[in-house]
Amino acid sequence: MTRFSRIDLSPLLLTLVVLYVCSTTSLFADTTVQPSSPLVHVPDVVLEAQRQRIQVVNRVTPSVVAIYNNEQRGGGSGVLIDENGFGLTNYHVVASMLGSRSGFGGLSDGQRYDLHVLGIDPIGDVAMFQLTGRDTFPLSPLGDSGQVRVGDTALALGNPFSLTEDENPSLTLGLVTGVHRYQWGVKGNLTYSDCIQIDAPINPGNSGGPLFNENGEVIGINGRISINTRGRFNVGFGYAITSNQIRRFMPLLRAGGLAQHGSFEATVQEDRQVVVIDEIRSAGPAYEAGLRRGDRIVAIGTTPITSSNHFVSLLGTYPGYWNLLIDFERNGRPGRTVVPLRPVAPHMQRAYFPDGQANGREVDRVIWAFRKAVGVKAAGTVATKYQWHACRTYDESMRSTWKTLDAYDAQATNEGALLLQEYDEEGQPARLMEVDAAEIQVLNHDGRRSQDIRSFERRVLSVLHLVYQRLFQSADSLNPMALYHDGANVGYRFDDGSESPVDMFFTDEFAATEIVSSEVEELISPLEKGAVVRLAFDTKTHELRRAVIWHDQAGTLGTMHFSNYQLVAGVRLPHTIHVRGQGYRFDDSMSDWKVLP
Amino acid sequence: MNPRTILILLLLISCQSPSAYADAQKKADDDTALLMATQQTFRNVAASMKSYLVRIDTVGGTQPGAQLNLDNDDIKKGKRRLQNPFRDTLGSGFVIADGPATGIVYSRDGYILTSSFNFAREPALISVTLPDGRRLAADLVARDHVRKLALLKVDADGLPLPTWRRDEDVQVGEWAIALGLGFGGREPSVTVGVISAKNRMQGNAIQTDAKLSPANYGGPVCDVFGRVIGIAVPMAQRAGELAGVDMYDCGVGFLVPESRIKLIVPQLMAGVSFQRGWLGIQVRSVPGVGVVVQSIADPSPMRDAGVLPGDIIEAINGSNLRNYADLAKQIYMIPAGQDLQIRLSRDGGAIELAVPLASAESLGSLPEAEEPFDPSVPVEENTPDDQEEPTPPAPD
Amino acid sequence: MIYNKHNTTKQPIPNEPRASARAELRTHKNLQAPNGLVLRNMLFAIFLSSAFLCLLTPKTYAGGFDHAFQTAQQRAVKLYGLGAGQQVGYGTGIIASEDGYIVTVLSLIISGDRIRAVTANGQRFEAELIKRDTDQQLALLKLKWPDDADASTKNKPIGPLPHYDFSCQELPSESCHHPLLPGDWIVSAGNPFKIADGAEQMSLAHGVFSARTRLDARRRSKDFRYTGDVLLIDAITSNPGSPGSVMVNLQGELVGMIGRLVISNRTHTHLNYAIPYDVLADFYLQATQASPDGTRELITKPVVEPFDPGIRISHTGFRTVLPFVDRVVRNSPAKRAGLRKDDLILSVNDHEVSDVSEFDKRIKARDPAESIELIIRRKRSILTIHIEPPEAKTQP
Repeated sequence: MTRFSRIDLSPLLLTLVVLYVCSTTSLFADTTVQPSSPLVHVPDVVLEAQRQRIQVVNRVTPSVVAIYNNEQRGGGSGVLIDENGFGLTNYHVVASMLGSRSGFGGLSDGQRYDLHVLGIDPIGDVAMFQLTGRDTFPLSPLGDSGQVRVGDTALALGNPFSLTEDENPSLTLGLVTGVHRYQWGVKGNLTYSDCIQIDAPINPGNSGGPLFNENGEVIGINGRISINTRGRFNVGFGYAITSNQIRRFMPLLRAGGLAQHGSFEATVQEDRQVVVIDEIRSAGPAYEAGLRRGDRIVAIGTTPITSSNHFVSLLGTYPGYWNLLIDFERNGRPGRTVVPLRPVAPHMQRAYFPDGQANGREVDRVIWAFRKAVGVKAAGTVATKYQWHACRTYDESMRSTWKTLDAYDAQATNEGALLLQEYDEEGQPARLMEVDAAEIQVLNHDGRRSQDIRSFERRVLSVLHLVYQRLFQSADSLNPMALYHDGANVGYRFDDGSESPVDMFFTDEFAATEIVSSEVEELISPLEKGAVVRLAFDTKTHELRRAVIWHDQAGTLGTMHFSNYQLVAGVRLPHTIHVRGQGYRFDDSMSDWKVLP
Repeated sequence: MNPRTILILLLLISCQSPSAYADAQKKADDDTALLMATQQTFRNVAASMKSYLVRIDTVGGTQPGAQLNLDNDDIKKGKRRLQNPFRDTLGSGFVIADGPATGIVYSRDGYILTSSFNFAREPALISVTLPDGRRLAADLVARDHVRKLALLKVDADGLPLPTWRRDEDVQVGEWAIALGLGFGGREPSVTVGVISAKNRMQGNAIQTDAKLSPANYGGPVCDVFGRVIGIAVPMAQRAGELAGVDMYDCGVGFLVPESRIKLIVPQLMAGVSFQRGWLGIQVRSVPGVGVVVQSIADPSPMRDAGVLPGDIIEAINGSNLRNYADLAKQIYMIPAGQDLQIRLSRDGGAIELAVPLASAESLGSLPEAEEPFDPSVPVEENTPDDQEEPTPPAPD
Repeated sequence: MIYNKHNTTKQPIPNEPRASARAELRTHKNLQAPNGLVLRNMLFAIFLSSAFLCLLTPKTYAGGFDHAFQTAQQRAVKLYGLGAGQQVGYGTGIIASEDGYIVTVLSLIISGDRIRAVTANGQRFEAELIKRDTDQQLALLKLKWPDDADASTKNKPIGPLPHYDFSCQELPSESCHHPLLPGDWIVSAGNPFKIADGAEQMSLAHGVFSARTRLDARRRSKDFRYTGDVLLIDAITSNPGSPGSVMVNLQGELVGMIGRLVISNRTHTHLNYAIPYDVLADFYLQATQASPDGTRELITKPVVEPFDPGIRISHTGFRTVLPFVDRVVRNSPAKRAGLRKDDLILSVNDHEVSDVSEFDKRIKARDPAESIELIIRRKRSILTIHIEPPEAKTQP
């Protein structure tokens, strides 16, 4: 019998099989004394599939949270995705809890834990919370919602109608019945973009609960249903926010922030099977990235676009500031560019105050991961001061428009300033600049104070100061940097070994080149009135990759890419900076490093 | 490029994927085979259960207390709040089925188990059609209005019995196959879901996402082997014979499991019916304080036990109460007559009491609030509402 | 929880043609490429096709429910037409032929001047009402395109229109698909809540086939005209836009079409059901073969037929069943004559009937114009009931 040829039969299965065998043999006994009926024969594959499903349910159940407000009243569901108690739910579940940021989260162990509300995404209807009261919490991994297909098994867990009495969730089973769905929001909020449609029953109280694939990975957060005239309960149409959308917002939500979604500032329409740019705002990010009216949108974020609805739906899953990779076609020629999406603030009934404590914690995490990765010693050790020489090479096409220096010597001083001595083409000393956190002083070669400095130069210098004078120092100089965690983003470079960034506009010649994207987390620091620098740290290597100079009104003013990390006295420092801005492009190569006593 | 070159190129490209192709094909075939085997299992369960299902027809058994239609305009206009029907204290807006109902053979000598949903009133005449086609008159032995069960008796012997599943072994996530005869016809209708949760309704119910409705209330919910996990009933955390019925296909359904049935049926056989139990008090939830008694019905067991307005109910049967919802959860599944262990706090001191729950008829009226009334705090009641609990008429 | 009310979504219905670059289409073009080579390089051609299969596999997973759903959704159209008030009405239809016949339900959306249909590849067509059958509540539409239409300008279907074939009657079963058994998986593709737009995939719904039974239902307060067989299912399909959806079995074979939104007279629940394939096929053949006499009405029932007295007796069981009246249709001749539920019929027109089949035989064998005389037992009394034909009602 093949039934016994399996070696991985669970005790349950064995019991069932034994029961089955018992009952079949009893068929031959006197049926008048047999107390009960014969059992139905069940094929092994069915039992095995059921056993696997039960196993998955048992595995994920401990991570499902029943969410209660301060009065211990049930409101919704959630799921833990981190052993430190970080969890996901819907914004609309915690919206009424924002005053105190606190509530309770019930787990299947029967306990209710203190719940602290972290960041919110009202537009995407997502929020993050943290449970406390245990050393480690059970968790469920986030899956790849891009792999989800119509017809896939979908398991929803949560607390419909607040039915649970022992904090154990309810399971409902169904299929994925649609993907790439778009469900309109209210005043822009609670918009379900590119969401998953399911027929697993979703009812009030399921909100914020996880949607699992058959492997027990979280592929979405259930939060919305279609109803008919019969009442507010399931009629077979539930919608879940995808895990891939949530992943882009998660670092900001962990940091207690208010999420903003991205705007392209261009509209599209369908014309003969293709999606083309219809109207484009001339100061908008799409225009500045080089896109023009009539360009055909082929793909965004490497996902091919099938319709204008698809484009709008997909766009809604990206946060503000996100560097969205766009493949396009102009007059039949392929092109590629990166559009930094303009952030759109959600409509809020009451002012939202970011969670400063959570933000500080996330800033610390990023900074210390960075410092560990590059070799900066822990707090309390003596700061290392550097001196180096840099050569500046200009993009030839830009050279005619302006040019200031060709090389400089730089030195980080013990007073916290950065000194730069410029040299011109002939190697003669030019301006001398002293940069500190508050101001930049410029002295001409004759030693007199001067105003001869362009605004973009000021910003570049400020970033240089921030990075080389302070970020690579020990912890003592961390506080005055006023860093603020502003969520996740993405960076791109060519896959030819060179570290050339590709964040700026480029067309056909690059379209065929493979590029590599990497996830980053961004910390922001104020530069001057209306401008900030967004420092991007690679989430894998933890290195500083990029500094974007961002202006409230004008958007991206410039980008500085840090690469070519090399050891200097035990610390890995970037030796190359690519600087790109409106009207200027140059690279700084650094050498002749010295460590100052 | 000549065509042959293109072909060779294509072949080269394709050569990378045969194994991926085979894998994908195998996965597709396996998935389909699994679904085919699963549906064969469902078929077999339906066929095997046919021998234990009875069809119940009544005269006068299903006249509802309140005639409201689910299509009622009020619902469309949103006047009736169906936000949380399992807690809703309004009467159900549902017309009871006047079609046949489903029951299951419980004993060889003719006890038939079904849902009290089919017996909102004591009917003048009950006819039971046995699996073998015989149509017999039946007696209504007793009803459990808490667990929504009813026991019938027909004059028969040697009836085949189904196998029951011990509910300790039931696992969340396993298939749940519900059968019913409520649509008429010879063949039972089949509805399939999974076990959603155990230990619901104070341990009185297992939850399933199979679509339970008047078409299968009173019928069995089975596992893949055709063993009966429990009897499908409408249930809600509120009073009324019809509570929960209006949610018939929302994916939240309940069945009374074997362990409870084993406890209840012997009492039903002895002719004991269960009524919903009431404390007969008005309380309010005060955040940070707990459940405060506002007023007490006179007469009522709570008054007899010496409970005073202003007392804080801290725990019932060992479970601490945080608010009214906790209180309701603790008592809505306990029938009248059963004792509750109540821990009160009065002026800082703790008092332990054993108080029996009362039936609706035995409770007196509720006096005006005897405790200073704070209008900002909602008042919640655990007192019977005449509209919710229709009093059964005297039998013929 | 966020709720989408179906009547408040303001999704515009785009009038412009939508994107229609389908994977299917690309496959088609690709496979044309080797045409010139096959004679000379047969071997290469074989390799080539296998190469393409390999390349296409990841996109053409056809396991589990995928095959059934894809088959179904490619053979369905999203319908738009007259709606209530300012709203655009929406529904679903089944493509029945390559030249664009569409079978759907008789509903408001097809009663306007303009009916629009969107095929799975996003192509939009005007549709015309060909025949409607009010007794069966079915309608036949036809997609329109100009005689000189050209697929390249997309005013004509690109490639052969995928469709279900209603003409295969030669199989021994009543329809061309594997007969459904209770517990079998069913998959439906349709456009409920008009979630999908243009070339976007329709919504999938899945469940099991519950039972085949005669429809006894109402819409609002009126009895529903169709009283033939329906396939009950446990997927929730009583939603706006669902009627007309394709329902298939696991193999992707058409087994029925989701019917209009009705409420069961037996259970008072919204029924989730489909009109069986055989009913659809009969309708389709009659409607397409009907002489072009200019009328759009299709009468499938004979004009002269014996009146229905309105007595409903179920045929539960396998042996002798006494003819107890299960239900008396409201406003029926039997109702007017005073027949009641649970009356036991002893004789029909002086012929004794001892079981249901005899009763059926006597009722069918009677003279259509004559009244019916029944002798019944009601509780302990024996009564005579005269059922007059409906015409007699108007006489004083």
